[in-house]
Amino acid sequence: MPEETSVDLRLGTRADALRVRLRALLAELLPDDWTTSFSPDPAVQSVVTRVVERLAEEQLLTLSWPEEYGGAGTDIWQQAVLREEMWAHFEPRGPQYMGLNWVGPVIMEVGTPEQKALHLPAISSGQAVWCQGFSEPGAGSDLASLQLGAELHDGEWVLNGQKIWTSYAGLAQWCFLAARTGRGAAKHDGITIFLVPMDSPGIRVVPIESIMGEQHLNEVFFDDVRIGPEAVLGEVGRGWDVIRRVMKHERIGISRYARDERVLAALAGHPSLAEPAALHEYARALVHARVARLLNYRAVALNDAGRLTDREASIARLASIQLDQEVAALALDLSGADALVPDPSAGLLGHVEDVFRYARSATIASGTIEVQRMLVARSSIEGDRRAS
Amino acid sequence: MRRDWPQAAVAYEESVTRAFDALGGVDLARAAEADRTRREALAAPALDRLDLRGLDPWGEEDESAAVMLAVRAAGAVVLPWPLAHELAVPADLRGDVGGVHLTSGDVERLDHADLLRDAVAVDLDRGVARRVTAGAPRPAPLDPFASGVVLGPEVPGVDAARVTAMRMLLDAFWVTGALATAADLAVTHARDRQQFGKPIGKFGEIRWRVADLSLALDGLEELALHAWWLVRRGEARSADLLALRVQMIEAANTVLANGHQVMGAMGLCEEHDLTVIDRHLQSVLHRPAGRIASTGLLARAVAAEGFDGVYPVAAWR
Repeated sequence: MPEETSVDLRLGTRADALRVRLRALLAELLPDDWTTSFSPDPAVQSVVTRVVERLAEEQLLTLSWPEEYGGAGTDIWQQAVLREEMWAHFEPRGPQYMGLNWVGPVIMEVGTPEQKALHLPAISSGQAVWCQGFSEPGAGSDLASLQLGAELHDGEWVLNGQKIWTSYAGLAQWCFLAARTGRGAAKHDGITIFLVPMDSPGIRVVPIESIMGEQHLNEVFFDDVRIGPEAVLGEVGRGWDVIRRVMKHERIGISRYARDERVLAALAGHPSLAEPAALHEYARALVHARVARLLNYRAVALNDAGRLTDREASIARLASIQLDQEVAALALDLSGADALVPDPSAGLLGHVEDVFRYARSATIASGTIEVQRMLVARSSIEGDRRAS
Repeated sequence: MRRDWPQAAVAYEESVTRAFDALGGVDLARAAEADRTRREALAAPALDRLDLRGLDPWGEEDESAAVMLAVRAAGAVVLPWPLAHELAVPADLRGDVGGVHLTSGDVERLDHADLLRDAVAVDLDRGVARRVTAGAPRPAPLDPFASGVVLGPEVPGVDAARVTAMRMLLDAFWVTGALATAADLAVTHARDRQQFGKPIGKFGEIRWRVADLSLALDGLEELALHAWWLVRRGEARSADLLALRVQMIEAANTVLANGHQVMGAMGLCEEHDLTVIDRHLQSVLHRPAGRIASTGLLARAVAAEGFDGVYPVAAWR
């Protein structure tokens, strides 16, 4: 085979080396029973802090950022490996992933020099925790119908309303908030993005107990919260453009298949696989995991080439989220009833109940499976749209 | 990572597609089903004009890619010719072996067996090649080009693992082409067919079906590309090819079932291409093994060989 071929599906030596380095680092820093960063438990958050500081030290925290903002100038496959290894290890950067994956990059794209100076160093050093204030009780998949109001009084914006399903709101110092500042011809008009300090008077966070555990879901109430004009990100009334940028960065943000592959690898040789029916299900899941990974790699490659459409982006997500639930259900089933209770001494397989509980949200979070299907169908039937 | 097919192969696929379209596309399959001699009278000369049957899927990258994409183009019209069977024969054996069938256990019928001179049947379970002697045609709606067969003694000199891998790979490209046509038909119908005053593609249930069949098809396309690349590098193990076969069958079930549902009664009619594609694909979907049996083969291969991935699965048997 010639050295240089048209098709080469390897991620490259730099990406492979990074994977080895990250696994060594995480093996050193993470406790054996590490499964979640979604906890206010000081012991958990101290692990997150340790991981984030070490990643920052080794210039791995802002790996995907441009060099001018402290990034490492890495290629897209190194970034893909970082996403895979972080997700495979239960996102040990904790809430930092939001700041790194899309808050920081969007501020780079549309922020003022002052906003960049204020926020980017804090994010890149792992000092700032962000939450996303998008969903409301009346605005879920139909985000553009959001109602939380922002009115200008005496040069200050006054916020009133409610957000919901807000992950990490109890830990966050900043909220990336979408609010309605006006009405236009379309409901996407009149939305504005604010960067709001979470210690602002009038903000109240109410945790919601859920199947996923602590810190996953919260309600956030805004009662006469006053913030200055410097908090506006982008243009007033053009917040939907900013939200689309967020969606672009989130579109290939979660590499669910990587954790699923890790779980499947841990199940190899499990006694329950002696049953042929179980082994068949297991084999099918391996196929689906590989397919999901390849579809995600396709999205990454197309995105890099500026050719990613809604169709391919959402197909990658559909494959990943369905895989997540398939593997979680399979792992719990193969592990038997004893696995309904976590067993910290049993490594990854001692926590399949956690994997199962979290996977319930896979087809709901960050755009439901129904929305993803709609995007694929619309793109197929009515013509491709570039994901932007 | 570079994932775009070589330009020369893409251009060749376009010329193959034009040639098959000129012959009537799926109508050629209909014609051949009505009169088997049309396979030799129409399909074979077209393939020869394209120099397709002489290409080597183990050849240089451009040639190998051209074979895969041409087989995909042939599958797109369910060409009534055992192209994958022929191309799965290594170049050094083509004088002695006319085609490769894959089997799992005893068989009484094989598709296009009457056309292929000196074909062999490679048994997946035993890993041996046996000479195929064709009997009388025994067509059926889901097996339109079947003939009775008798399997003779073992044929030495056939690298069973090698030809099995290539045949499975070629089958996947064939099915990918056929499913792409089926998906196009469904999407076009969803766009054009009006009910309740609007295109049916505006209804959520239809949109979901289009999404699910698109996911299945794209997944197969990516896995086929990946498997081809592994074979090219000499890194494909039997589990990799069986994984491709399982995905191929599952994707076909998803695309065809959803395609029929989107098309409604019209898609069930023989005059509609979807029905012909559906019926003509069943042979490759069930030979050498259908979904359950193929999954069983994959499961055993995974246990014996492991399975590569970001987190590789270790063998345990």
